[in-house]
Amino acid sequence: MQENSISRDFIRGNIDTIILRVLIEGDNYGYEIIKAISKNSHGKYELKEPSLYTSLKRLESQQLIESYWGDESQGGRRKYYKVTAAGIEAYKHHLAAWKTAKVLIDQLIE
Amino acid sequence: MNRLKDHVDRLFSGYEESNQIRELKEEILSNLEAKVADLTSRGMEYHQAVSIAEEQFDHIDGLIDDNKQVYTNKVRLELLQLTLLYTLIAWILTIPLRIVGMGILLNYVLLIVAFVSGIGFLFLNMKMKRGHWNKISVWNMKSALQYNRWVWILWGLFITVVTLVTTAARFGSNIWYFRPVSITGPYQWTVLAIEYALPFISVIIPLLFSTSIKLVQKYEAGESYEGKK
Repeated sequence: MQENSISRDFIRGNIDTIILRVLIEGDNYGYEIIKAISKNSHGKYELKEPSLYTSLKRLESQQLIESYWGDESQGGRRKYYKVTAAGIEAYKHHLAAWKTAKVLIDQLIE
Repeated sequence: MNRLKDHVDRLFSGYEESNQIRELKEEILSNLEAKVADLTSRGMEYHQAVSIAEEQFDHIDGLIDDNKQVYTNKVRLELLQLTLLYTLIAWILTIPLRIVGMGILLNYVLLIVAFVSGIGFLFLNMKMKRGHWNKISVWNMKSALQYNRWVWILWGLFITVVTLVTTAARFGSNIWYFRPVSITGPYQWTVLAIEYALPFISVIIPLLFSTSIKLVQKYEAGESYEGKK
């Protein structure tokens, strides 16, 4: 439990990048983003819905993603998200920064 | 589907319907529906799937613009401290006003408020040392600022009315009793001035209200807290 909550804290700081990665693979809507993240983590990480919406809102306000309403599904309309050019840039930047940090942190704490 | 819609409506009860809210509601509902459809397609009972969807998504406070999550007890503690400070200052200021009946009363009331907020401060301070500092509550800044404006407007009205009443009572005697107003000396002049000044002590109330809004901004819990609730 303790270990689990610690790794959640590590992940929390990178949720935006994780979502950007999913959206780079294709436009998507909320629940499918959660599912994709769960799949990418082989079921080890489940993104919570409030965190998802907060993160999407933040990314949208930074113009890293855009949203549009899709066709009617069985229930209501679906809101899809699409990554922007700035979003792709930001993703590459975060990825490079993460790789540098990873090596550094490994050296420092291992 | 209806049970989910009711759940989402319940989550949003208390929020005024705006474009932002309507879109967020629709988005959340369609995602919850997708989730339930996904769970049932994997063999789960419909009702159980709905219950899971409801349980895992039980608050939206952090998602609304203008909403701030705030460390409640930190705000309370500083507010109590300021109440203590303000009432003590007011208490000292009103000591000379005790020559008027109302002044004595007000002076005592202020002393009591100062005493109570002092005790409250010590009590809360002790409680927070025992780890109660991270309690969170949600403030909607837009309505808080609106309330704040109303408090100041009401206070302004109060002061205006009280001042007019005092004036009518003191200087209206010409009209009521056909007797001219007479201020016979410095003592009477002081009594009159005190009567005008006394109501202004109540500025403490709107002042504390404004301060609490500043404190809310100061002790915002921020995004690191999301999902920990």
